[in-house]
Amino acid sequence: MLLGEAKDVVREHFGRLGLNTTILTLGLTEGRKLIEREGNFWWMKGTYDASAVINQQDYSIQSGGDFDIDNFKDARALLWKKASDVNWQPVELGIVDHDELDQMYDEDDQGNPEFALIDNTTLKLYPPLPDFAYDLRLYFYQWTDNPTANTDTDDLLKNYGMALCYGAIIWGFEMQLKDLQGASYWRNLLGGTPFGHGGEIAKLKRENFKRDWKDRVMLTPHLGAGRLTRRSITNLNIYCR
Amino acid sequence: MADDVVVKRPNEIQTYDYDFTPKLPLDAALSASTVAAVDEEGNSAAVLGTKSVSGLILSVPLQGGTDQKDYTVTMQATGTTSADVREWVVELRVRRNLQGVV
Repeated sequence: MLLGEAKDVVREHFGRLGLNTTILTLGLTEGRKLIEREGNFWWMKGTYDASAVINQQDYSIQSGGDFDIDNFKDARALLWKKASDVNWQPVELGIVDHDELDQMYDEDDQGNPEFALIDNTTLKLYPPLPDFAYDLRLYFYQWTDNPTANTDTDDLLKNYGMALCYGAIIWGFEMQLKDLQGASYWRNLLGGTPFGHGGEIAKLKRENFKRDWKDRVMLTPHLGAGRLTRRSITNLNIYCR
Repeated sequence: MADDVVVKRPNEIQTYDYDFTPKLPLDAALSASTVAAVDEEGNSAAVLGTKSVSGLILSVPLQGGTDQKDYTVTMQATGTTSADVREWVVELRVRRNLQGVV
């Protein structure tokens, strides 16, 4: 589905002149947000390469920041390496709380990144003082925008266009028509009841899971030759007996 | 925000008239006028023919355009007596298959 088609589908529910284009565009933006609030989906993935600064613990994640990322939503993973190296090493990101890391490390501890956490829009590295200008690679999810041209498309629009239309119609029924009962009909089509467990969002989540299954989860025999092949990211292994 | 919406098919040429009398009540003619069109991304778009002026009526043929694109046509006029500059904005939706009344 092209963006123009999505606009026309939404317009047909409000009269072609009933919803001016500025408000319609806002409705489609809110529709996309409604979907993206329900999960971290494949079209939201991105990576960003930055460099650590010697003796600097905090790095901002925002437009124009150390990690120059617009609309950052969530982190997936963080890797580090020396600039001269060719292999990346994992940093344990977000699995230990801020206060616990402050207790684990002294304020003057130096070394390569071992743990990291994101506090609002700040990435904090532990040990607190990097001893080298390490390369950092952040894998993340970000809030996305609708295409700007009416003839453009993206993965959400192309394959799950009605999800975006439902989202915009919900917003229109609530904000423009103030018809909460009508909105609940469309809300049910988008996300089922309870919201997020059915409808188009359930289809998106199933597709998302299938993709993540290939990317991130490895079934590992607990005994036998397969043991030697298991991945070093221990919390992702599923052991089969 | 557009003042009016026009839906036309790509091959149609449709002359659009706007009478500036309500916006320029002290004037009887226009001393200057412009008509410009942009697409959704703000790029200039070739969807206009040659404009013409008769008294306070500014006319422009709407032509061409790409199916499923929306264009914003801005008609600007200056009153001879008042020197007021007023605008009328038309949203031009080019659709091949969308039919029926708007």
